[in-house]
Amino acid sequence: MLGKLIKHEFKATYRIFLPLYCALLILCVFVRFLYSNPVQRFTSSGHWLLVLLPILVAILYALLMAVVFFVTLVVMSQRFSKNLLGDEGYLMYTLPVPSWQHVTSKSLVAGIWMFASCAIAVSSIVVIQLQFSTLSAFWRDFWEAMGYIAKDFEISTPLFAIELLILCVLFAFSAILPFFAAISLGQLWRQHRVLGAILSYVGFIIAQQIITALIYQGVYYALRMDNYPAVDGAGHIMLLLTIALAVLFGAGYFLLANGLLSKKLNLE
Amino acid sequence: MTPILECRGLAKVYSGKTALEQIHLAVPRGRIVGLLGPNGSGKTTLIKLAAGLLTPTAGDLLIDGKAPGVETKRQVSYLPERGYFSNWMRVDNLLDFFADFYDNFDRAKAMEMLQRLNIGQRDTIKSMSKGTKEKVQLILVMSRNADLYLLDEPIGGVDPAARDYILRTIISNYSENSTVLISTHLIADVEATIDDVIFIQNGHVLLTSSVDDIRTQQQKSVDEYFREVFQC
Repeated sequence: MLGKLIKHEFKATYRIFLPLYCALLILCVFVRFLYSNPVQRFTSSGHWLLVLLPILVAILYALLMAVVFFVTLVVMSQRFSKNLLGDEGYLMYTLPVPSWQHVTSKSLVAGIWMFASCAIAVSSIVVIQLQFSTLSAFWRDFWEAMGYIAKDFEISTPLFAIELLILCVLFAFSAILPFFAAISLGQLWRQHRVLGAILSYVGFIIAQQIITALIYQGVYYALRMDNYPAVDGAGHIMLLLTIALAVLFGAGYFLLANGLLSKKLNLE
Repeated sequence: MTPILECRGLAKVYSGKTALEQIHLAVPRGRIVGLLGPNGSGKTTLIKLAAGLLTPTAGDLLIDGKAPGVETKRQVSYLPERGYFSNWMRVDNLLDFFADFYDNFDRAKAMEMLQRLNIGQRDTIKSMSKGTKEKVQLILVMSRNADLYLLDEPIGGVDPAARDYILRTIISNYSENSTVLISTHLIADVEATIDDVIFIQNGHVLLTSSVDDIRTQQQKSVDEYFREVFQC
């Protein structure tokens, strides 16, 4: 049943994301075109409207980039609250599906969209910046830089790349999961669900920041990173710690949302 | 035989307000039961508890001997008093959705009923009138071969002609082993359809009886008897 829930979750959300991603990619190609040398020579010497055009398109591109992330967070949070805790919850919660599968499908699909939004945003920057003539040089430099850090971390470059990718995926999930936990907690305040969710979210983020700062500080000193030389592979330990914290907080938010929705669900 | 729906000392309190108290009920299989009572009497709360959307404050509610959960949700087909479809969905999306999640959903039956009421499969929920949305919802709910149908105000928002069609649909679609629980205050409309009644008021069960018993013992129709019992 989890597979079916995920399938229907994608069906309900792709209609919003695909057009948005297409728009961003088309716009970034347009930006690249307008800022290419021959076109720029043409526009800069023309009518003032022509001079303005590349600037306007660039601003529009930057705005759309922000909109993509904003929409990802808003759409997925709204979907969670409307589909599970609003009128649509009457259908979802009478399906023969355990509650954890609802929360899992929502979290998984939201995390995937968040990751996709990041990937599309980065791709669009690459499209704008990259010179095809220097593509191989770019890759060489990129891997060289990765190699330096990996050497400092005392691990192999591929392992470092994999850990970095895991961290990116985890960040996508940890961006969305506190929203789900906050919405689930907010519904306990019957008359003020939205206010409850907002306050819960702010509370979660403050608590997370404090806990993270304390742990980082403790580990920083334990690894003697304020002195030279630090403990061997200290940088790698910090990276692993970041991964561990992302997993822990993500799991915490997921378990909280799941616990609240399975035990305290009372649809109005 | 285990009753399809059983309540033992069931109570539900919402933020300090008692919605149901000391409910004892045993609804057998193979009956069409009217859950009748004035507004705010606890009909919807009882149905939502049976559908597994609310958790009881005290006592037990059992569906075929089991507490509401994944297993009972397979057996129960529930029609809420509100629209529960996403606006963007088309009728064929909904058919896919029901077929995906319910083993006992009869797609052919649903399609036939939709056709009878001239509802196109490519129609979106957004484009439908309130009454049409209710019809679609009822058709999908009644197209499941469930053991227990929980219909909360199924005829409230539709015109009298559609109302007759819906009631005929309910009667013709349920098998002799399944039970239909209909909550309504439009008693005259359902009177010919139901076998038993449960009168409920202020969260208490006032009376459970068969329609025949009311007619023979009280010499009244259920509608007349209801007006007498719940006189304001």
